[in-house]
Amino acid sequence: MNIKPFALFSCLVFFILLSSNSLFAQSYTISGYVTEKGSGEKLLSATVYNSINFSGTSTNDYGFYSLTLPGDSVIINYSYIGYITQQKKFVLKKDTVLNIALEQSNELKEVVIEGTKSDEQFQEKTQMSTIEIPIEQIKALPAFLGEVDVLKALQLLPGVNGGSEGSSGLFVRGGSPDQNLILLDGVPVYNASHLFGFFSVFNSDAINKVTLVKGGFPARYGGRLSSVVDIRMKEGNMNSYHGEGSIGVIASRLTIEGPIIKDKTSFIISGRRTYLDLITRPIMKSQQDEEGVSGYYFYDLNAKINHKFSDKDRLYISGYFGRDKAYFNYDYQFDETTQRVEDNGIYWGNATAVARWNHMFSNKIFSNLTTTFTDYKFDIYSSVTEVKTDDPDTYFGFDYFSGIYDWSLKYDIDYVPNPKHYIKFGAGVTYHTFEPGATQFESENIQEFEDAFSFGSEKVYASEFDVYVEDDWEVTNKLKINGGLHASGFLVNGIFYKSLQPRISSRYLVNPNLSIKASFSTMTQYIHLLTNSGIGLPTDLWVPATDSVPPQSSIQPALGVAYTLNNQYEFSIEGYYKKMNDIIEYKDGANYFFDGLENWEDKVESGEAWAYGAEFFIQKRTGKLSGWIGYTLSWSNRQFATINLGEKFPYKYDRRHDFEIAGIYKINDHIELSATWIYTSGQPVSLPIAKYEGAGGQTLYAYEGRNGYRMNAYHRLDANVALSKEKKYWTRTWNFGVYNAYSRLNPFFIYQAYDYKTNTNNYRQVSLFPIIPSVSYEFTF
Amino acid sequence: MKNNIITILAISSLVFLAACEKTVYFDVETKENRLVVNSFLQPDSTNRAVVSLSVDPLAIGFESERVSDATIAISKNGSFIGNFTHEFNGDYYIENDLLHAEPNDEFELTVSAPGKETVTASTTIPSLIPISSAAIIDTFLIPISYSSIDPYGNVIYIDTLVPYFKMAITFTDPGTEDYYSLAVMYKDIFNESFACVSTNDPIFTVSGEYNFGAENQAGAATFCDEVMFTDVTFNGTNKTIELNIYAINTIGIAAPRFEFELKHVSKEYFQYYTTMEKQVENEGNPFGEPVIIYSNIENGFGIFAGSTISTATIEL
Repeated sequence: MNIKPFALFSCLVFFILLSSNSLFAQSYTISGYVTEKGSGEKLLSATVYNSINFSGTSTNDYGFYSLTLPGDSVIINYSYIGYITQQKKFVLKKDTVLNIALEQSNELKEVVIEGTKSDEQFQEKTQMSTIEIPIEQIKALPAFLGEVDVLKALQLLPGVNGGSEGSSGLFVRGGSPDQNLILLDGVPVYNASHLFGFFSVFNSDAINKVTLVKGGFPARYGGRLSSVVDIRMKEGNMNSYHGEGSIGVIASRLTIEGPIIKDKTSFIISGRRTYLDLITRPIMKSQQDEEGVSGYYFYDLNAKINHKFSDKDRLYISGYFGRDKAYFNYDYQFDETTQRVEDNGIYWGNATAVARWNHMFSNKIFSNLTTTFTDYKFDIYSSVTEVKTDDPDTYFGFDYFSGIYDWSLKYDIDYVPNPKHYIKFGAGVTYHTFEPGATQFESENIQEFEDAFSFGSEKVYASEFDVYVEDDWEVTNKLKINGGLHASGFLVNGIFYKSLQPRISSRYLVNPNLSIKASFSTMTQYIHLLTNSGIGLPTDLWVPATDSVPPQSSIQPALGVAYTLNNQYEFSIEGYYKKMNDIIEYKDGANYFFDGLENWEDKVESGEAWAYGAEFFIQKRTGKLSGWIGYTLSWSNRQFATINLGEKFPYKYDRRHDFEIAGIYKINDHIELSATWIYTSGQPVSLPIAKYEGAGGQTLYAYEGRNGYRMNAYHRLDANVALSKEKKYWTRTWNFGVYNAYSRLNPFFIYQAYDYKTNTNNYRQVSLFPIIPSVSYEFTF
Repeated sequence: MKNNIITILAISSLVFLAACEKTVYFDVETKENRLVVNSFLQPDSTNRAVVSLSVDPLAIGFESERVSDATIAISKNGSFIGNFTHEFNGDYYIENDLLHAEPNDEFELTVSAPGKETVTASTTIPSLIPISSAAIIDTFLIPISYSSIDPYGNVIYIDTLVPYFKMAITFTDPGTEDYYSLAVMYKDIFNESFACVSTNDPIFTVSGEYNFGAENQAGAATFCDEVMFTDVTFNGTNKTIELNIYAINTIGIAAPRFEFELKHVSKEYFQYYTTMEKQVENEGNPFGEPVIIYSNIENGFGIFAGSTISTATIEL
């Protein structure tokens, strides 16, 4: 390993620590946690602000804050969207611990203290290209078949494309789905889709906070090129037992939380299961033979335990387990002496686990030690068992499986030496096991297959290392910079890849409400996704960078303006340019469905991609009417040496225009209306422009290049009305929703077909979903 | 609560993920009725060109519409040489005596037909790359297993050994960007056919390169036809290719021999054949993107390319 990057990194950390300590020796530190009153749930990114000297900070991902101020009178405001701001006035004479519990506001209305500035508004933050959506807003938006979906809500943001109809895929600023780092409580989730992409794996009832980072990546993030979706689970109510749940058209869910030891230990457990298979079983039975049973379902289970040893030490253990399964079982009399049982199916899913220990070394230093496990598995199986009256029973089984498993250990430290600096640094190591496709046969009492055997790709082991440091530095009252360095390495099959990734974001306050922001980030990704579809099918395979398929990398500068009007309306305009190197694509004519995974490296080609555009965003997060309007004008092109004859071509998910509106209107405490409307340019497709004779007499097709044509534009209106009522023991909410309210037949794919009536060929567009009503019943207690 | 559940389940039974299909007509700018020219030049040969018309991609079936009244003019190194002569049904020729095609000559083709847009193309004849040696360097036995049915109808499993020749051909690559094709023929006084050969030579399995006609399996390529390759891994050096060929029993057969044909082809030739082959192979694959076929025919479709051929024979 080259020692220089790490020496540079160490010097940088040392310099920052030394300089920041020495500059502010006469100050005292206020520190503590900001929680929700009643439940004790941590409030992440809550603002802590001294309105006397305009110094402030925000809580970290564990609700901890640290604010160092000169010894003097202070007025500290604690605020969080949807909660009543609290103010503490006192004379700061010593280091002080203040744990604050904020009370939820009834109308999601921010309480603003007259004459003071209570919140670090978004134009003041250094970070750009980052959007936080309150989970309450996500849950209030119309949902497909009544199933609240975090990723589908993110698709409604500028710079994010959802891919095809119904999909929960994320294509961020011209990136592909594998370039999104989707973190659930800090653990990567490799396949975030249920039902072939129609739903995401995240159960909204168990989620506390969702953050999307599209660019200007802080140095603490690494390993993906295009985005970070940071999803934090709730911790569980410390004081009393509560629950919420929903019974919907296709699924139901239930969440229970409460104290195990009051004010010490809490838990939350949340489950969801679909019942399409149960509902449709009688119909399927009538269409099939009585002996056959088929179906599909998915389920999720989230659980978390949070234990507070002391104000300085806390332990969190959380996990997620989810599975999709489609099956077909058949049990019938094969002949007079044989009963045959066929068992066929496909299942896939993620399992994640994380144990996290928070330790406060001092009121300025907060540490977090995390160990995680994540596992994504995909399996197709088929077996035939014959129960014979005359001969021994026979069995033949086939199994094709793939997966990726990670163990990782991370140590992160937040150091807040003074209000001018917020330093984060840490290191981590991840041990990957790739199992990119293996086939196994087993049999009993069958002469042709006496022994079990398997073939396909062998497991590949790889280690990934990273170390980072970042500082959110208020250089002057107007200029603030978040600078950092992320260094990483990847060891696979004796090859060591390494990279240094400088990151910087800055804002310059033109006036208190208006700022100019700029960022530059470089990213490296050591794993690739082999995909035939790009929409997140379970068959997609994760593979490591190798000697012939190098890691992906990107650079992304961005420039923007942020403006807040009346403390309520947030406007932003951002322009970005993203260049990606060594992205992979199947070579012309190659795919693993038919070719198998042997020598997959020979079947893919590394190339380059360019994405650039402008994003416009207006958001209102509080008040009776909340929501946002977003518009993206973008271009996304790719180029490979041999694909499309080496010429650039539009990415499959290139969309010139992408416009979305999301609105939530709370009429009163009992009635809430919401609607979303989305419009995107048509998807590029390859369609032949001529048919002609080849040199050997073959029939050949001419194309205007790959993805030379566009399907029709996509647009859709969804709406929902929520009717809530307090009951004796619980609050119930009926949700009546409609997906695709004006039944637009949006294109899903196009194929060429023969029309028997007219004796002609034509192109046919398949549209998935017309207008679909939904109803769900939600309850909280 | 029970009533609520029943209500929802009742509604659920009415709501299905209905897929509907809609016929749409795209404004695809087709390029039907364009001239299609397929012509290959090779020194010491009668050079031919086939001219036809492209059709609407949605046309039912496909029967090539040949063009018999086209004018095909050819120039060499900037000087007009002459016109091709129409032989039959859109098939044209020009004698090499008139053309005098030699390595490194540049040719330009202009094809016109009444009512059609004139198309042009150009190519350069590559240099001749002789096969400097061809020989059997080894013989060996390969174990194979197969099943068969015995006279009583039982499946029997047979393990046996079959003889193979290891053959080698050598040539010298000129050190420029070069493209080749190789074919192995088995010939005797009665028969002439392509021989199936296998090889582990990485030129047929190099990542990022085309592998026309070859089927990769565990690093080996097997082909029974013309196979394309580039000089990316041996540019400017002597290259020996080892090939495994089934050792045909030649007892009682007159003049049995293997004949190697090494073509030094132009880049256009290589690109056209490799992309064409991939499009044909990929047709009907719902998971593969369509392959764009290379063409150097301006305003039309097809190929105009040159090659030189050298041969070597191994008598058995």
